Amino acid sequence: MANVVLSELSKYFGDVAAVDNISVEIAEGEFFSMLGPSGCGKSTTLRMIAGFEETSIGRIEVDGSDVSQSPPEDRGIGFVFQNYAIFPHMNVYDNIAFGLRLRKQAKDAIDSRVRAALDQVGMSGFENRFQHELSGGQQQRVALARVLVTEPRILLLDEPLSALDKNLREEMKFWIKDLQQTLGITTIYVTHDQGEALTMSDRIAVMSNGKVAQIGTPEEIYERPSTRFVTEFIGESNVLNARVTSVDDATCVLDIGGHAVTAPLSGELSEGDDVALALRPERVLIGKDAAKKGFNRLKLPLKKVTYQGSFIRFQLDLSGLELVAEVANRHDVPRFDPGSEIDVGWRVDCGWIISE
Amino acid sequence: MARSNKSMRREAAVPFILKFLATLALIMLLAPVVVVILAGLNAGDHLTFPPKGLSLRWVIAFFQSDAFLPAYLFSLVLAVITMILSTILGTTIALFLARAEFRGKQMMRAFFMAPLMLPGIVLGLALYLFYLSSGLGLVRTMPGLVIGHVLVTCPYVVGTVNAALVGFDISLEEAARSLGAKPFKTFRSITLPVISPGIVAGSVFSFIVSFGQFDVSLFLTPPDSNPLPIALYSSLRYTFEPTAAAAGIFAIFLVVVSMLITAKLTNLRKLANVNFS
Repeated sequence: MANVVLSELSKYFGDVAAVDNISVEIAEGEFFSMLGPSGCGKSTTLRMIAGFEETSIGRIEVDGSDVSQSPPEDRGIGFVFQNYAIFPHMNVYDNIAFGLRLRKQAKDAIDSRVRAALDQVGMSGFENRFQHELSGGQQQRVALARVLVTEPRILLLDEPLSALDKNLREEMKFWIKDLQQTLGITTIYVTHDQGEALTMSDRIAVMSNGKVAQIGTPEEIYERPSTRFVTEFIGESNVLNARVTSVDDATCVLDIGGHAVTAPLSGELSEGDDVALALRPERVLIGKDAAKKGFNRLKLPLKKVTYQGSFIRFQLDLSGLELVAEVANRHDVPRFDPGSEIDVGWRVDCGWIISE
Repeated sequence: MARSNKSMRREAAVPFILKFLATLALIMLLAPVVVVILAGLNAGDHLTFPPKGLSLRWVIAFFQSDAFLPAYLFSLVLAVITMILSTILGTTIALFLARAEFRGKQMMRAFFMAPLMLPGIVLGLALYLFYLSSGLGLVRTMPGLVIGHVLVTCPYVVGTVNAALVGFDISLEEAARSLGAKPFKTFRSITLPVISPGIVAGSVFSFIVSFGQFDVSLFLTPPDSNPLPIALYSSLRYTFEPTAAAAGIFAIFLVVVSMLITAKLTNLRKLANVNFS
């Protein structure tokens, strides 16, 4: 177990910065995710930690010592690849024993540890199978066993679920998280799937263009994204352009297309500033739920209703802007026809201001 | 059962015209082989086809011949030496071309493949003149001949190993490294076994090409010993005896055996799976 500190880490390919001055501290035993669209530098960062890519600038510290100049074999890091990289000419047993044989352990010790590792990932009985005889999920488990059997200080996972089908992905998400918690191993997880990051992580770094856009717990990232990029990348959001009309101690009043809306104050704002108000669709209520104290209350024309199974989506016209409300499909879900004017509202502290 | 059904259905999907052309090509390729074998088993006194009855007399004559048997053995030794050198050299070149990043890489690749494009007679003549003028003492010597054969066969190894490396997943090496393997250990225990089908295919090619090599050998062969193709040629120029065809039978036998060994050593299905993963 170990902690990881990345300080002022950069990677240039030619003149292009794939990773641009990243500083992150990852605590011992933490499940840390790097989340972002492709090309945001998350995989490059992970590969630098593993030693597969050289760092251009900066330090990578594991337990206080700089490993950025060490070859991968000296870093004590376990890496699980997107395609699992199971050695095709070895069976499952030899794949898992590979790291132990390099450490010149006694045959009996290797055997018992390989079997324990197979048991841990639920793959006992698959010792003699080859890569082409395993499904994606099974390869995934073998890849994890192969890494964990060497007792790495840190576990790095590069989009390990992206090659699996949807049902298996859901299952493996919880399985990996459970395994990580049982072992208490410091884990860095790279993904472009916000669902994976939100479900599994202790903390998430959302990345964009080689930089960290925001670091926080899943709740912080989802509830209070700090920039427009993070807001739009994580989940669905209403992002409404607005102008500040008055500023109070803890709140401010915004003008959105002629409607006055109250929002919690964040940062330095003054009258006349152009900002944007962000709002999750599931926090926008309609009908009589919307008419409560401490709510922003509007009456807006309904443009479209879409049935989506577990929830129903209402698209409203807010002076030319679109406001989306998603209402859980309960027995008492209000029914409205497109074209009618309906009550819309949200608690003041559910919205947040993004400065451009 | 399921597997055989599937392959039958796939076969049925091949248009008739393709099957016809493939059969035609196969017949054209196999016909000379059949002719040589039958001519070698001829009971008559001369090299004729169809043979006048079957007998082993020319096969026995081949074993007693002081021209063909030594030539056969000489070709065998030459082909084995060539195969070993070409495999080592060709694999190294292919690895270098696949992994190193430098300017003029494409030009260098073309340079290594050039002996395939050049007519062997030109290459043989060029080498002969080079040996003569350079004064290295290689004119009509065994080392000089081996160099010529390696030059001709090496591109086959470069080609097949390169093809194996193109399908090679570099993350296999990275996985081995992060599990604790040093670079050389990684190469030996991961890279080499995974690309070995390409290496084996290339070395068999180089063996076969060297064994049947005529035009380069023509200029470089040492005066006291002849490779089989040269011996056959000089014999058939003066006498038209079936011993030559009997020697041909053994040459064909050698090629078939080496192909069978390759098929045994190289699990083609495994190679395909590596590429698909």
